Amino acid sequence: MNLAAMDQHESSVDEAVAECPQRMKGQQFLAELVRRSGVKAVFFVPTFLYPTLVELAKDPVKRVLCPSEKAAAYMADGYAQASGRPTMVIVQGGPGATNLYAGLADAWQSHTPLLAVTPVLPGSRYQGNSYQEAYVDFRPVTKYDAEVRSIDRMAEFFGKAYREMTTGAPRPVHLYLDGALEDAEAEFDFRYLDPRYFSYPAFRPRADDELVGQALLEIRRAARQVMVCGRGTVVSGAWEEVTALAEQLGLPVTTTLNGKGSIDERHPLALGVTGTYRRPPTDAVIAEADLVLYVGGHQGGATTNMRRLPKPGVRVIHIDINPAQPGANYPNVLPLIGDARTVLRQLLDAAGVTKRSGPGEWVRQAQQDLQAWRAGEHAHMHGNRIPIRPEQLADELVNACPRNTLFVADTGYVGTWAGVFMDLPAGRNFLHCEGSLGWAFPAAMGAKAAAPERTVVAFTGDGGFFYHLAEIETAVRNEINLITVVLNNQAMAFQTHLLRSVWPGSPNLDKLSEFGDTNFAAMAREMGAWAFV
Amino acid sequence: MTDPRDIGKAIREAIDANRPAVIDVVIDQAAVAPVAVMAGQGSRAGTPPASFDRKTDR
Repeated sequence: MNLAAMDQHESSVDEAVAECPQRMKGQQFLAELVRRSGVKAVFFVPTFLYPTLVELAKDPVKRVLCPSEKAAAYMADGYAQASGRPTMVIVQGGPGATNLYAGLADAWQSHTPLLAVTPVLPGSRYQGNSYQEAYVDFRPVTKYDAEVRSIDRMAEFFGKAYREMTTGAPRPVHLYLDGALEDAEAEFDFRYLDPRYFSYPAFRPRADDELVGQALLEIRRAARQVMVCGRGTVVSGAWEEVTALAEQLGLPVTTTLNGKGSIDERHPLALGVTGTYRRPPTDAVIAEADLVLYVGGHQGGATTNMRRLPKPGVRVIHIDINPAQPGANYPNVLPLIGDARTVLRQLLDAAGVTKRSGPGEWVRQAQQDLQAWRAGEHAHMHGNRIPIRPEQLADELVNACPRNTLFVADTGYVGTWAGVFMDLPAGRNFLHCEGSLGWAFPAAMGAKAAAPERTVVAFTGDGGFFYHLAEIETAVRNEINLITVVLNNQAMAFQTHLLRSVWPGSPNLDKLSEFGDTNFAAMAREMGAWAFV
Repeated sequence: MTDPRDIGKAIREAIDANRPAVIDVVIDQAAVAPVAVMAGQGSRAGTPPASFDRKTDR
């Protein structure tokens, strides 16, 4: 820690000591926690923690009432990804909590922190066939899961929750809370709530310098190197370092779908998205590589195209903040454990100022293959067909929107079209569904609540939009003015094409994947939104 | 919306609306992903998928 940081640290500790302890009610403590965490919105489904929500009445914090727990979790997910600050999702227990579980699964997969709070049943009603008595085990989808039953330890448990959320690999947490504690009074020790843990990454650890030197040596010795940037690169804000290292060492750069933004996709060294939802020539580069540098990702199935890439035996260098991640899904790995931006700077420092003299043959071939692919897609992207091709829609949306627009894409075909045909600048400008179809619309609402000054576009299909249509009313009521672009082909087209390919002669295949003709614009207008005519 | 020439206008009006906005885009049903994710699906090789039977434009 440098001197300035030490001064700041001592100052914040002093302030905390000076104000501690404070006597207040549990509801006042929770409201104060929301204020101190710096979030602009919390998301909830009644009826839990109403006293706390009432405490926040005069604060500039949106209290977003949602019709479904899953959508509320998705909003908190989008909020954290857009702002770098985890917020709270508050829902009822029992069957309602089971809906929350599904929402947390997406955040679990995308390594997104959010704090879920549900009520714990008091002992007098436990196992008594109580109304809505059902128990949910949140441990498979949370990094930390605990019961808060004592007013005296409330600050400690909430402090632990924020520490778990924002350090190492960020992920959701859940607290069961005894609702009676809201009205109870105690001395609260705010030193448990260190403001450094209210945003992520809370810390930016360095990798081992010796391993950094070894990695650099191996990158330089390899003949066909490629960088693959995952979501952790964007979370770390490492796009400038990615670009600088690529230019310094002559490395072509690919990204995972959620790693879009790690480099400007019009940069000559940027090849686009790799993995299952890919540009075809991009995976070919990884298939031919003799060294792959992964930055901030978990080498999951979508990134490795179902564990087909890289080829067995290829040397892998993996930068990740989670010490257990490098090598977990692939052998022959040199681990560089630390924050992506910090470790890339270490590599840049070690590389010195000598630049490679222009792209080598390996890079030139990759660039030519990408250009050939772009030429082959020209008719799809610029053909002006009616009805419009989704490739052209994805491409032209980027041109039509302001440069700092945040695009939030669903999974399925829509995810591929967005990932492959939207060439985006570097930065936090793209979020993608890691789990369930339908995530994009509510997640984009959360993102817009976090960044009201930016244009936020949900990019979804009719199959995805159907999931959470009721949230149109939530957006209208809370003045969350996002734009939703619905690619309407009256089907889950991914499935339609699969069915027609595998069972071409089967009767009534349309019953298995196609919808009726739905006018989403008319529906949106009816609910108070604006719709294009 | 189904005409590519309307995209810019739709986005401009949506931003100016100062309300949540929905742009319902009727797309080509034959459009697939650029690569095959599962058996035969999304492949640009061979015969492209036809539009669905019940397709209507508004």
